[in-house]
Amino acid sequence: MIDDLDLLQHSSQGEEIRYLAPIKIEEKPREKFCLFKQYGIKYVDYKNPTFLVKFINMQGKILPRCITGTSLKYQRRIAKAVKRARHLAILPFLGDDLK
Amino acid sequence: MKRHYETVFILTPVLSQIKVEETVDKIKTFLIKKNAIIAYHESWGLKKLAYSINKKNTGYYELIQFKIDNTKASKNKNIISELDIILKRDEKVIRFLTLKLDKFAMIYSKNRIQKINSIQK
Repeated sequence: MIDDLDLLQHSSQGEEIRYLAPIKIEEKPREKFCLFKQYGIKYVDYKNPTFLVKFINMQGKILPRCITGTSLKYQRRIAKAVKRARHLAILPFLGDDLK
Repeated sequence: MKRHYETVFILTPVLSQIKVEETVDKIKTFLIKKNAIIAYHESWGLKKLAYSINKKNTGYYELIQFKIDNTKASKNKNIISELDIILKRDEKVIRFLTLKLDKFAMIYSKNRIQKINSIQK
């Protein structure tokens, strides 16, 4: 087998070598969008834990903007709402297995 | 100019139903005395807390929305700070939060009240 490969390489000198390098598969990264701008939500409610769970991870940490794709304006409001919910024991400070 | 506020507070689960109503009435009468108009009151009942507060795992949630007329400024001074003091001194209250509602919050709360009323009907 190895000899065959060597032969192949030698024989195709000068020509274009195909498929020796891994084939490039073009993957488009999924486009993120701001949930609030898309649906026209103007106010983030701290009393609604089922909605706020979308923006925190398993441990109850607030997810960064680069993951959720929210705009800066609403990221600030989410952070505020989550902190208010934590104060009122609607959301935990330290979660074990949320979601 | 009228300003809208919202308070949420949690009462201890040890209380009986009558005592809960009494404490809510006490806060309501204080607000009425200070010329505030109570727009909406909602009790969520006994709910489980996300973490234990004062070694308690449940609590009665109460929500009150009210508005204050700021033109009668002399009477309504420091109404929020006085409300906070009353809630702080009360042993039955575990946690509380007072907010000023902006215009988007007002629209949201109106829709929310309508939804709740339509479900009840």
